[in-house]
Amino acid sequence: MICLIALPIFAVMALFSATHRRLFLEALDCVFRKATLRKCQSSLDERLKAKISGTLINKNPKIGNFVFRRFEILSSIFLVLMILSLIFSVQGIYSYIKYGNCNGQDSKDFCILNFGSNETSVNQKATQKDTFAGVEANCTEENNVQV
Amino acid sequence: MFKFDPEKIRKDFPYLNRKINGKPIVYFDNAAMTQKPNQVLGAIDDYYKEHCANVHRGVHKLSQEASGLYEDAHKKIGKFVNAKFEETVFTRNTTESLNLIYYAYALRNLKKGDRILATSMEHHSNYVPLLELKKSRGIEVDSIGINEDGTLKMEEYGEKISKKTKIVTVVHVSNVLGTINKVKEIGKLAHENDSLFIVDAAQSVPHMPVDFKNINADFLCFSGYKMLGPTGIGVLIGKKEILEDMNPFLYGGDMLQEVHKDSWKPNKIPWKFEAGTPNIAGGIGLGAAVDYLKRIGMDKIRKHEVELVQYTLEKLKSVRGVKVYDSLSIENKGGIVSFNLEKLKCHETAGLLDSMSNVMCRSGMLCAQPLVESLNKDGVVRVSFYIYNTKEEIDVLIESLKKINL
Repeated sequence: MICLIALPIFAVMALFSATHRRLFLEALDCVFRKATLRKCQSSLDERLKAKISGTLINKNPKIGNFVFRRFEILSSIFLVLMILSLIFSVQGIYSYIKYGNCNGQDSKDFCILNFGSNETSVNQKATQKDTFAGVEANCTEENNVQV
Repeated sequence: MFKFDPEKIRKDFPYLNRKINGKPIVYFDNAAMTQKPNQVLGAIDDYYKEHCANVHRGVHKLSQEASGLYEDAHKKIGKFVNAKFEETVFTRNTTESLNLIYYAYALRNLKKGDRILATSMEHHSNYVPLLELKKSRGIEVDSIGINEDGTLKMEEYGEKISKKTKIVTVVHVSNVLGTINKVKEIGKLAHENDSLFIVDAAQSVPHMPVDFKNINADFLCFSGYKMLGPTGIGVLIGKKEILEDMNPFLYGGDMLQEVHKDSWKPNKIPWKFEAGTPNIAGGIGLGAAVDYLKRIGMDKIRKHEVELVQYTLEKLKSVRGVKVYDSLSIENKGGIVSFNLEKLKCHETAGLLDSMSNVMCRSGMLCAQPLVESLNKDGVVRVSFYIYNTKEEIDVLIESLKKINL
């Protein structure tokens, strides 16, 4: 499971580092073997488990041991989160390309993808307006009292 | 007289200057490979910088110097185990030394129905060649069993040695349990039956005084890299008369004296078994390693390792859920301790030790699968000590094990 999570991470890091290129290939081999119901030969999964759990055990033995003993379950949770995050990202990109906003048609919510564009300015202005509306109202009331 | 001082010795080993994640290295995988002192690295460096030439092939000064250094290395290493210069053959490692015997001797002299007697604690390198002989030549292979305390069932030798037994082979010190086998006694039984006696001394020569003549073995095999020497150099010590009778293992340069159109004449021993350009730097490096070990004294090295093993066994008692594979008395045990943690696979334990505190030890089948599987089907964790290890390093191991098994 951990190899599957590691694969996209190492894929990005492999663009910049030769060490991670080797790890990416190991992860790729591991994922391929697991997908074909064979045992991961490179022991990358075991090394990653030891590396992550070992570091945690040094900091807090109880948490480290908890992670070590439930590593597969935790890996599965992270894998599901990663897949969900990937789905939402793809959906957001699709919406942004189609509607100019990653939250879907007619949405006025904040979108991280449309920074610098007019839409962002409109959205940001809208958000700022909402945020400061109360403050402005207070000021007006105070001004009224003073008057 | 050299006083044994691990702290002084540690200054000679550059690996101890290295830190990983801000922590020093605790190297406990010495049964697989030892670290190298500056003296050995210097000797190799000196050969390549000052005397780099091929041996036995030139009249020029550099070749003469290189040949001298290489021959001196043979003399030093032979003397180290009380063998003659001509009885000392350099190979790549113990595996090659053993294969040399089985190819050059057993394959030519044994016939179908002949028997080889080994033990159940052999390293793969001293067992797989036998299985191949069995498969290809119909030679019968039998093994001596192991008692619950990790010693050999010596009484089985009487039952299993017969006139058909042409070779008796035994590992001097087990690389799994650390058992020191009674090689002299086994050799006596083998010779009474006119069997050839082969000793795998890969885990004994680096750690204790070993006397080839006293053991009365016909062949003694060990590796350089397990005794501070470089990789790619091993040793085969063989009785002069047997080596002279044997055919070469490999054919080529330096192993012959003269070649004619239809014939050739072999070189004298040990060169008859060192065909082609040898590992000259490796041999010289191993010579320097032997000098280093002799300066310390093999008795002192053995004493130091006994102390470390006793300390480890005592300390391991304080670790919850640890299973130590040891019931040997300390005088019958080498510098090796094998164990497992409950609920953890051996590779997991070894991986955590490495990740947490740079404690580097071996895990798995240890190249002795039949024996290890009888202890634990998933393998074991092994720590093995050498001259530069200290009790403080063992404390690091124990503290890490305690944290893992909370």
